[in-house]
Order: sequence, then structure tokens, then C-alpha cells
Amino acid sequence: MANKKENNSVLAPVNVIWEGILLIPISGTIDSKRAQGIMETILKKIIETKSKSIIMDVLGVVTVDSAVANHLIKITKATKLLGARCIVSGIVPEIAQIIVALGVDLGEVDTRADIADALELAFEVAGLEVVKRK
Amino acid sequence: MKNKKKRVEISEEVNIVEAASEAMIFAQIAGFTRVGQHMVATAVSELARNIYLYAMKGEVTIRVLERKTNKGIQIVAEDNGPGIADIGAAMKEHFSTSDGLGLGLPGVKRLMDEFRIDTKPGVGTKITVRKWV
Amino acid sequence: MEKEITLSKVGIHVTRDCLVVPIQVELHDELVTQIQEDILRRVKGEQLKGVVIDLSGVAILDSVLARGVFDTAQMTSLLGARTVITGLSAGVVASLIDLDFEPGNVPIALTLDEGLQTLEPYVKPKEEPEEAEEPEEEID
Repeated sequence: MANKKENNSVLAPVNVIWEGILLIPISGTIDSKRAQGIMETILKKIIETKSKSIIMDVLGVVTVDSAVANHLIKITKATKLLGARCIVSGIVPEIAQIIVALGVDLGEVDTRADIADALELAFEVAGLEVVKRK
Repeated sequence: MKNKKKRVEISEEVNIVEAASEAMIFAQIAGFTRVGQHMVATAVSELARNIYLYAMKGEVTIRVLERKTNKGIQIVAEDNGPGIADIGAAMKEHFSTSDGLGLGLPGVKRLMDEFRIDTKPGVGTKITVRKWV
Repeated sequence: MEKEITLSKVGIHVTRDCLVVPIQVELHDELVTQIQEDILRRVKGEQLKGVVIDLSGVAILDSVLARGVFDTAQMTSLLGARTVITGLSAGVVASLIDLDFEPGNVPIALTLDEGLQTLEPYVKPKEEPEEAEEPEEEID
């Protein structure tokens, strides 16, 4: 049992990649218990760091079916209840096809192809701009 | 510790939060995280509320469970109320307690790990739920 | 008499032109209704434009109680005021999500202070006063 918990935190570490912006790379399989654990970790971290943007990268997730999609949607709804915004990145063309074919409504969830794009959106939300030094 | 249990009678509105608070304490004893404790308390609140609203009187029994590898909590909410005529409809997604249309049972089921309902119209209802740490 | 009891229990006060409602007791249906009435009465009576309902002192919040609180926010907006809800814990959020709770458009912030900050643009007095106005004083 202890191993399971360790695995959870190893496979979904929460990084503060910028002030107010969290990055959670998720890999492997997501069942409801794991999704629950990830959600709990994210919520606690948002409160702790007062973060407003949460980037959930799912590139490493093995299968994205409707159950997994619903877990992800649940997490994004939860972050909204804390006044934060979730951006799901790592959506590759095949996954996009599956999600649409399954009829899963991602509705208000922001998605991006990769972390860089998600970060750009997070900066926008935070009102930040990256400027080259002179 | 193994047989620690508590019975809360539900007949007044304040009993709802009483039952939920007791459940939260028991959940803490069982070793749930703060988040887990709250989920247990909320499930109990919803179940107790149903008893109060529809059966007017009933009871909630809270018990800590112990397995070899794990601890958990069990809640039994029972009443001699009208019973649920159509369980299928009651378990359908769009009936929630907060919009006043239903019993919120799908939500309670999601909050817990195990869910069992025994009901007979005209006789009463008994809902047993369990959650493991 | 009952209204006074609610106020003293819940400690509603005005800070920075906002009605601050710090709830430190366990909620139940009747109390939520009383709080709702108190808030609406004060918003109307004192022409307040902002309200912060802080739930950090609430240990248990189920779907019906949450609905009562969030509905209050919708009601104040009908009176021309904006309500921010603050202090939701991870446990409350996780539970409300499983109960399929819909927060609607109600603004949410993490802390009471953040809530007051987000309300600032809404409660600031207009730039062009019709008559000479006293400068705003910090109320602590």
C-alpha cells in the first residue's frame, strides 16, 4: 500500500514552474483512485502556493478513454472552485481524435498540444510578458 | 477501537450536521486525510438530510472498519420512511439534493467506495456505504 | 432578536466598502437563510457594492448548504452588488465536485484578502463626483 502512494507522487509530481503557475506531468494509467489522489494533491498545492494556473500534461498517459477524460474534466472543475484555471497539455492528434469520436465534451477546459503552449497561455492569464534583454 | 461505533438519531434539522461532524471525527480516527474526512462528512450530511426531509425520522450509525491491510469507515443510514419506489431514477445523474429534485445518491456513491441500498416502498430505506483509507 | 444573534455569531462587518461575512460556525439550513437575509438587508440598506463570504471557518459544507451560499451571491448581484466566495478548503472542493455541484459564474478567491482585492474595481467610487466627496478612509 505504501508503494502505491509513493508511485502516485512520483508519477504526478507538482512543480511550481513560475509564481502562481503549477505544472503536473502525468504519466502511466489513470484509474479513479489515482485521479482522486492527483486531484487532492493539486488542490492542496493550489491553496499552499496560491496558484492561478495549473498545467496538467498528459503526454505520458497511456490510454485516454472516456473514463480518463472524465477524470481530467473533474480535476479541472475542482481547480475552478479554487479560483484557478486548469490547462491540459500534451494532447496529441490521436488523442484529440479519440476524445471527439467518443463525444466527450471538454467544454470549458483549455487544452494545448504541448507544455510550451500551455505556459504561454498561463503567462497571458497572469498578465505576464517575456521580454528580451537589451 | 475495532468496534467503535456511534448512532445518531435524525429527527431535527440540527441532527444533520451532528451526524456529519461525528462522521468527520470517526474518519479522522480511521486515518483519512483531511480531504477524505470531508468527503465522508459530506456523504453523511447528504444521507442524514434525506432521512430528515423524506422520512422525518431515522438514524445514522457510524463505525470504523479494520481490515488486515487497511482501515475504513462504514455508515448505515436507515429509516422507516416512504422508501424509494424507483431506485433506477434515484440513481440517475441529474437528480441532486442541491437543486431540490432528488436524493443526491449518485453523489454519495461517488464520494464513497462501496454503496448499497435496501429499500421497500411503505416500509423504509437502509443505505450502507463504506470508504477505505 | 434572532437577527442580532446571527450577526454576533457570524461577525458581519464592513471593510474597505465591502460587506465581509466571515463564517466561523457550522452551517445549517436555517442559519444559511438567516445569513442570506442579513446580507441582502445590509447590501440594500447601506448600498454596498461588494460582499466577501469567507468559508474558511466552516468544517463541513454539503451540496445544499453550498447552494444556499452560492445562491446568496447570485441574489446580491440582482441588488447590484458583487459577491466573492473565499476560503474553500481542498476537502470542500473535492466533495462538491463529486456531488456535481455547479458554482455558476460566482467569483471565487482563495483568501479573504484576495477576495477584497478582486472587489476593489467594483466598489471604488466613481471618478467624477457630482458634489464634493470626502476622501475614502481606510476602515480596519
